[in-house]
Amino acid sequence: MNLSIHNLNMIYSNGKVALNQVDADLSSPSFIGLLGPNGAGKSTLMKLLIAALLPTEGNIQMNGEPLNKREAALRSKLGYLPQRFGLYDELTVWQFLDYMCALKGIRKNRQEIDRVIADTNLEEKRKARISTLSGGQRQRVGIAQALLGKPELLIFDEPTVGLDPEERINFRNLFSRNATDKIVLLSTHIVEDVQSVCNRVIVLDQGKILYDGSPQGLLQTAEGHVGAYIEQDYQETPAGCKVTDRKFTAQGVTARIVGDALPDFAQKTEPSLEDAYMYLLAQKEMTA
Amino acid sequence: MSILSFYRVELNRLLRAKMTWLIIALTLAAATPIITGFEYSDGTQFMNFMGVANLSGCVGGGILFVLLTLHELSKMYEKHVDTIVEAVADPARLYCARVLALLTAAVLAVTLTVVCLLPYGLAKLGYVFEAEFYFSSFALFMLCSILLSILLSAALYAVTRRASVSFIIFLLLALTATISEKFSDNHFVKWFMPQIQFLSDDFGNSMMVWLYSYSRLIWFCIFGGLFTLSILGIRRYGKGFFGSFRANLKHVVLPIIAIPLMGAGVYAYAHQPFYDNSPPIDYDTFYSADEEEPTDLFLLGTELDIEIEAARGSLRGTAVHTVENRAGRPVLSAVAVNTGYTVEEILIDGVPVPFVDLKNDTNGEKEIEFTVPAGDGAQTITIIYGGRYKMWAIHKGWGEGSDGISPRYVGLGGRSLYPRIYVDRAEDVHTKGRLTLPDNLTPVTSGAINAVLSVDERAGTKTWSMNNEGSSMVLEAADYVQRSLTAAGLNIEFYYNRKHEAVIEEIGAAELMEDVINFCTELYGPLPFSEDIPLKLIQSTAYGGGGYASFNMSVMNESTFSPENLGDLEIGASSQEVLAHEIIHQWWGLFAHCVDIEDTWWTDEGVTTFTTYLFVRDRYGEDYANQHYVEKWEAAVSDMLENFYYRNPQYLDILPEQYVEALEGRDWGVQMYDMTALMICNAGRLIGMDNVTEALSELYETASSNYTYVTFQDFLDKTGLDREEIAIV
Repeated sequence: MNLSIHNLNMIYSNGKVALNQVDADLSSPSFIGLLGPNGAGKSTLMKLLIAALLPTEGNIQMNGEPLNKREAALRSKLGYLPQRFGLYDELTVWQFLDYMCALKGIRKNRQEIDRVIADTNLEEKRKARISTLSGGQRQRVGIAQALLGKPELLIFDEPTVGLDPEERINFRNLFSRNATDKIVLLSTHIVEDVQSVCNRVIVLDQGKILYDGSPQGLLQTAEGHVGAYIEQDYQETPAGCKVTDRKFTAQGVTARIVGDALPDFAQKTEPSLEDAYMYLLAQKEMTA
Repeated sequence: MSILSFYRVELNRLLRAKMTWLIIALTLAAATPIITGFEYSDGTQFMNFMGVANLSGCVGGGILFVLLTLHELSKMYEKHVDTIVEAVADPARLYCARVLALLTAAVLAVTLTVVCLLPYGLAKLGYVFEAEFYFSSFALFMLCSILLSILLSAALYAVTRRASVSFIIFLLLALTATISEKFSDNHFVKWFMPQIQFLSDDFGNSMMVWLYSYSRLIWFCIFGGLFTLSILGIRRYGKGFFGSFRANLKHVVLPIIAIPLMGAGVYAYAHQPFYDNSPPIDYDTFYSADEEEPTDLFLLGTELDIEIEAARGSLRGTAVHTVENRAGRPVLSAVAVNTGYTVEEILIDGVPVPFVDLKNDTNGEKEIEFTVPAGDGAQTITIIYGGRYKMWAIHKGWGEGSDGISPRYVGLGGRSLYPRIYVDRAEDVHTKGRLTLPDNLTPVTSGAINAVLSVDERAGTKTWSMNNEGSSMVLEAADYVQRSLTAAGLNIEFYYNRKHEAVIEEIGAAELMEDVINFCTELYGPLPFSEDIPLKLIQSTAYGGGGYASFNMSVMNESTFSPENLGDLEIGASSQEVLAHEIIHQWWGLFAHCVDIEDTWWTDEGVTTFTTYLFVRDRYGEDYANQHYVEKWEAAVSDMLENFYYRNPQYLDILPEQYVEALEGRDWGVQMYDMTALMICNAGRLIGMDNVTEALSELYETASSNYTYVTFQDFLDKTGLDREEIAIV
């Protein structure tokens, strides 16, 4: 499967520019992490990819054909978990997944439901009414419905929100397993999730792509631009740098900073993906 | 995926929701008369059970399913299920499937209602129960109202995307169609709550079924079109109504279906085939309408050959008027005929003549003009006509009216039976001929008893004779049983519906009629029928109002014989006495009328109730009559007079309207029946019963021969009593 995004612009009716000249090419198999601050345009891009929105300009092509003419085909290949979603409370977990199976046109629904219930660790709740589930369990049901039918395109918008750390790791692994023959697009604020499973990262900010490449490439951009130092009382953040982390250590509070030019008292360290991401955003801010 | 696949899924989901079953249960409750407690006081059994169940089912079920529709359509968006569901399913298809599932739930609700009410209906309706009408009435009235409500509310929601706004608009539209003065006389606007005022137990309800089937067709076209068009408003691509509308226009098939569908509905409304286009009655000219202009044409007789196609609501026939043109020149003449009929040909002495259909619908008829040439002696004007009977537009408000052609009842009078010619009538005119009817119908026409002339078993028809001494003919036809009676020197033919035979036999109606007629004839004088031709007492459909008399025909509404009426203790102590009361109305109500604009309680009912008392006293003795009548009247009047609100009417203003109506209705009934009868009784105590009946006899003779009303003052004048002397304080 291939999705080509050409010169995509999205301006809402209130004048807000959500996407600006976005170009990208997504092909299976790939596991793409979509990073960006709030309001960067991540959700808008995802909605455009599932044809829930029409772009103001530009187009998206699926396997070489305009997406807006292939909506039915897209739906048959799509698994989608939005950031904000609801479920039918009157149904049980199994009934809801059965309902979604029917909507997706999945024939061997029993096997498929059993599979996703097992994958999402919902066995004990399969007969429970959705109204009785906790927030994390509802999130798992949301993930389960997206996985139904082994779709070729999986789009997850903040899928691990509300999950405990163990579940988060489980799901990361699950997504990773699913990415072997399809496109998985994962939008998240948790960079760690991206670092551990994605083979490609797209960083969006203010509607523009800041970076599109491998996580290693993103790490390389930050090499030599990440440092750490023991923070003195009331010491100001060095000019041109941005603190990405603070940790209590035996020596005091260790501040981790990114910047084009690190101060002398900072000791250069290996960048993490989060550092690289923050460096990318800081660079843009400084350029602006 | 197709809409049908989505439909299966949505229906499955809908039927798993508790809310759906709650709505279904409440719909069943709304249609259960024993729960709603609503009843027509003097209706037929069908009206009291199926009419009431359907009307409350239409309103209750309609509103409940609108709430369910709006809840189901809005829930997806309010709970953000759409973000998941619409990613994998086309929102427009999903919307259609969801509405189809709701329509199915409505079918299920009405089916459950029909099944659950069946035992109660069987017990309540007894011998009048008809399975076909039982099921079809719920389908036609209750189900269709609910389905239309769902379609409209879904369309409104698709446009507004606000459940509350959609509900308010729906209520406004439903209320406008139901209670607006502007549409009060228009059946075809009553899509939400049908205007059912009558349902016949014995004579079928085909006309009502035809009428509402057509009305439902109109509104399914209009609302179906609206619904189809509303699919274009289903929100897509994060856009509002107009943006989505533009985006959805790529589905060109939707407007291609919707616009002709709505157009067909509007066309069907504008060209409905049931009612004519007569303007409202102009009362200044209405009663002088029969004063026809002199034409110098004299009618010598009319020969008819009419075939009624009852199943199709139509007839065809030939009317041959024999006339004399005494003008000595060609005369422009006209015939008046039912507005639904078409005159195919007019021949004078066998020669076709040109004619013009004026299409001037007025008072339920139209005129066909032609010229009668000059000539000596008799000329025959042969008119070949036929078509589907149309009702006078004045009847739009309350049902069919007394006229109509339907499979189980035919009632045609005047120009609805045949084209009548405008002439200066000659004496000794006979109207006679042949009448062919389906063999399940027995005709009763003005004049002589109808005899069978021939039977066509293959066609399932019988041809009957008609012969009336007069220039007109009235026809009543149904599955009648004919009983010949003799009373007061009159030959009486009593026609009642075969379905009612057991009740008629049980109460000894025929023998009772003889007794009552003998008694009243002796008391007040004879009914104005000749001894040569029989008096025909006919049970007729509930649609025909209280009854009427024409020539030797006296027609009584079927509800006269209904168990409710025969068991009404307000009227009589037993079924027989109630029937006696109704027969006494032949004197007081049909040929003499008690009307008083000063003393509005003075009506035919009081005098008839008093006469019933006299009849019962004569039959069962003074004690029985006093116990069951006088004492009951006294108790009712005393109860009324002692009532706080009767004594202090100024406090009525602070009562809720429904209580005021109930109190006033009760007082009105007591005054009309009990108090009036008691006052006449008081007059009898003062001057003797014989003198009172003598006075009433004289009043009857004057009123029936001069067509004048009998007022309370007339009664006082005739008895020589003062108001205060007989008043009840």
